[in-house]
Amino acid sequence: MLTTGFKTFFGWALLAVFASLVYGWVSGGGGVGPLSLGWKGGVGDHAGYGILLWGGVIFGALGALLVSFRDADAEAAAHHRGMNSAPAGQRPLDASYWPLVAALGAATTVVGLVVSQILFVVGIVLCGAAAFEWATYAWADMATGDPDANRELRNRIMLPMEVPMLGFAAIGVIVVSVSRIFLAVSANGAVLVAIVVASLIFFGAVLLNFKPDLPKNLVAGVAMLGLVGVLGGGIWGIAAGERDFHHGEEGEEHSEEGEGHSDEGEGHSDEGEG
Amino acid sequence: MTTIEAPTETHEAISPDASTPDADDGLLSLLTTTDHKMLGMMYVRLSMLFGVAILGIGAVVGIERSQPDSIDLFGSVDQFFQAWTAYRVGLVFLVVVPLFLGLATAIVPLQVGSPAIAFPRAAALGFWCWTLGAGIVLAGFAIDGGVGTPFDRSDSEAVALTLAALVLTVIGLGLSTVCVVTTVIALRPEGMYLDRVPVFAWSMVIAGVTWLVAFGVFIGNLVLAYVDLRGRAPVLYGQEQNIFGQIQWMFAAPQVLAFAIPAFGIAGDAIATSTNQRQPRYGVLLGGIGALGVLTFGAWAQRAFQPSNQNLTENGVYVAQGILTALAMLVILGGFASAIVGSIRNIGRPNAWFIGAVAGLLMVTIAGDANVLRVIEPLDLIDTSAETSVMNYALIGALIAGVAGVYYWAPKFLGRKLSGGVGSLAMLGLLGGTIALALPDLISGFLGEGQPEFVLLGYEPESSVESLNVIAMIGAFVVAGAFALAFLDMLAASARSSEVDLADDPWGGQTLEWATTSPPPLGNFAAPVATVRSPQPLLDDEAPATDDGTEAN
Amino acid sequence: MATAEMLDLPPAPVVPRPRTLVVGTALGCAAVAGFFAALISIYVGQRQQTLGAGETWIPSGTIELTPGVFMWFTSLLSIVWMQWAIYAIARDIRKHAFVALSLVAIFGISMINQTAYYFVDMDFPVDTNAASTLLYTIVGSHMVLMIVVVVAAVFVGLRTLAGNYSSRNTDGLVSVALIWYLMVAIYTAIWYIIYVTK
Repeated sequence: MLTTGFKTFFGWALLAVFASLVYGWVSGGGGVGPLSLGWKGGVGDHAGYGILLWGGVIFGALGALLVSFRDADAEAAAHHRGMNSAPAGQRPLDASYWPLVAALGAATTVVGLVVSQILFVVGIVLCGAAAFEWATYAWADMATGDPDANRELRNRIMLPMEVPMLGFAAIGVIVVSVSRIFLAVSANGAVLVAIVVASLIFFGAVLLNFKPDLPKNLVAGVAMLGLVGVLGGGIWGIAAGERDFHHGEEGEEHSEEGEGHSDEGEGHSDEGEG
Repeated sequence: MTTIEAPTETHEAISPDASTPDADDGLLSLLTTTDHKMLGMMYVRLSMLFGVAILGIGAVVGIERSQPDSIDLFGSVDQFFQAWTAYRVGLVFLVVVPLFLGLATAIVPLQVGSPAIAFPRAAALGFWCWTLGAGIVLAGFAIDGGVGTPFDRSDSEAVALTLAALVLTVIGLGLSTVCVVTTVIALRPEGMYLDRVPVFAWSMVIAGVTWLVAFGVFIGNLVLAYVDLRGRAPVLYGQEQNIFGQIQWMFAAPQVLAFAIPAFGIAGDAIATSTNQRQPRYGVLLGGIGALGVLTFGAWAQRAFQPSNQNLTENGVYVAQGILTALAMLVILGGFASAIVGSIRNIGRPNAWFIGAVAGLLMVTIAGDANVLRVIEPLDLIDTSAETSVMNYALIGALIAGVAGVYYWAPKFLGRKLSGGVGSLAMLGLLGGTIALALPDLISGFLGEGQPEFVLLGYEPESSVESLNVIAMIGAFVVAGAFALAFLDMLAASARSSEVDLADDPWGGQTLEWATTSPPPLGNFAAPVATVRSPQPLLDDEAPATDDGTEAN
Repeated sequence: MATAEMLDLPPAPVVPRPRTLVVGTALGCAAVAGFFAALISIYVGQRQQTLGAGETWIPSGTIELTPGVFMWFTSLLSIVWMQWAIYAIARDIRKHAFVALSLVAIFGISMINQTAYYFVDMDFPVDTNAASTLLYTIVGSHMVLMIVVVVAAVFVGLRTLAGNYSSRNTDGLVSVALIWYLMVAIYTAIWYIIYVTK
């Protein structure tokens, strides 16, 4: 018996192929051109003819696929597995931030394609990381029949990789961001920023030590806020550029800045260096 | 046999209070959710927010059009063109399609008795790709980009950004479409054969397959333009004055009518619920909607690539496609009309969603009929404002049906009913606004008003065209206002505390989504769904269906 | 003791509803096919119009045919290995399935390499004319997709080795096979329409 899915999509296929043939002729084709894909005789508008024809093939393939497993009906699925009733459908899955990371990676890639090569590479790396994580989730989901055991299994394998890598990434972001802030603000301002940042980290750690029962969400929220603040400062620092470094003839300030010009030993401006 | 029965050996029920991170209703759960109801709700909210902005842009374009012989509001013809194209691109990819996909993501798994949507993580990825892509598309238009301009005076990097972001947006929508269609095809319960799925679920299968192939073609057009545009002087496809011409088929009939197919599905479910009767001739209805899928497949109508000695729109295939589409729509409308007339006494005071569903249905059908006028060659309406008329009838009509769907299914994905009074006002506003917006453009088409070329070519309009354009402008404002009203109603309802005593089936629905709580628990159903015996499983306990789908008396 | 330990084991995985992944993949393939349908149809249409106007489409000697023929035969051969993977998993021979998928991935990498060689060898800059823009768009898109499919084949191969797939659940392999066959079909169209008939 022909299934509903097959009848629908095969009907579409027949109509699309018929329309492509008619269109091939009436748009200026000749002979048996439309019947022979333009081999013998001509086809008028190749673009329209081709898309209609391919459309017919695509619809026909969908119809053939559906009829080959009885529209994927529950009864057919049960029969396929040799069961009395239909196998379980899709179960709800745990929340996951990887779809968002993958989408962020794709969006970064898109922006990077147009704006900057570095962004493009960052986007590709994000997409790759998300794809890898996704694959491990997909594998772990089917490891056992117990979602908790699957989660534990995945974490046992992935956390030893994820934690150091995320740690390195976080340290990298902080180091680069804070250094950009140092370079952008005045010399005294840099000292002040260093004291404030170091104090915050120090007193934050002391507080955590003496109050280990602080709500996790609060700690995570404050840490996230701090990270965003540092990142924002870093972006501001990049946008503002480095301050002017006026070097005295003695070369004292020069060597302090560590800009790699100490061999010259004469005053000049580093303005514009990136 | 009841619709919900005890667990079987293979189809496990998922405990309603199963603990997952989704149980928290914080920002983190919104960012990480894979629950289809929450994803659907976010899709609906965001697409409606975009809708308010895009319809606002349409109203501003309407002001500019009210004096067609000069550019007043915009700085140049190019800027006007950017807004004109932003309205089209936005209405399709930021509003209508995502609104339908949002509803489908939230509701279709419930309709087919599935505990979850197929590929939940891919559904989340689809939503986020769309969200981020849509944001960048809007940014691209805002920074002097868009999809090209007639006089090549936009920022080419911003144009490239818009094209690339549009690809990402469409990929996101495509992913969501795959998840929804796969859910209907592969996750149905026993007894629910494809010819027994609810009308909305069926319409999403039909629309989804057509959309997917068209999306592929559309992305092909975009990538070709992007490759030509980047990094060197464009050869042909990336030249700014050529870009919109290559993708115009997406925003014109017949393809634009494909975006309205789910409107028939929403109308089908809403009308059946309102009339409290089984839809007569269910198979014919599904067949009619099925036919619309191939009849509205418009990706082949690549006018930008036709030979110079050919005119695609004067072609017999193009004309036949338009006429057959209108006929299929009329058959479906006739079926619904007979259902309403046969049970008029059951309807009583119509709900907002019933008004919206019928209004949307009428507007989309009128779009199909107006398209017949458009393709009949002697009337010479191609490339006139009749194109805009057909597009607005189809897309705003679809939007009305989408809003009706939001009102109808709000108990399931919001856990609340929306205000009936505000909803009715919004639906009537949308109906009146659509007619005022689209009908004048159809008449102006007969009077020779072109599409945006009326500004570019120094067109001097007849005074009657100016008056019609003023009416269209008023219509655009009414549509935008009524849509904003519905959006605010939804936001206000979301802000209210959830209704504790909200019934599982507050409207007397007939399909499986009404067999679970409002809102449904994690896993959707407290117990597995029993074997389905008709397209209206909730009526089967009251009166069994006969083979032709009607009740056995 | 052994019984107690066995009781501590988590239950066997619930085998998902068959065909779900295959249906999803088929729908994705429909979109990909639409993408190439558009580009190749536009290519043929533009070529016809350019040649009809008496202009040059792709200068003779630009595309060397031998690498393309080799590549096409490579892609045809890969179908055999892909079918071997399906055959093996249907009989629960996981190692064979993994080896077959690995071979398919290697064939895929060789095709990517061959395409990259073409790009270097052709001496036909992308901004030469409409033909070059279309050629690079079509062939480049196919190459990018091929990279994605090779990665997918490797992932599925590893999951097969890890026991995710068996004769009771072949969907992952069938899905990869579906995409692979589509890629081969598209390559066949590219080979004939672009490389052979130019």
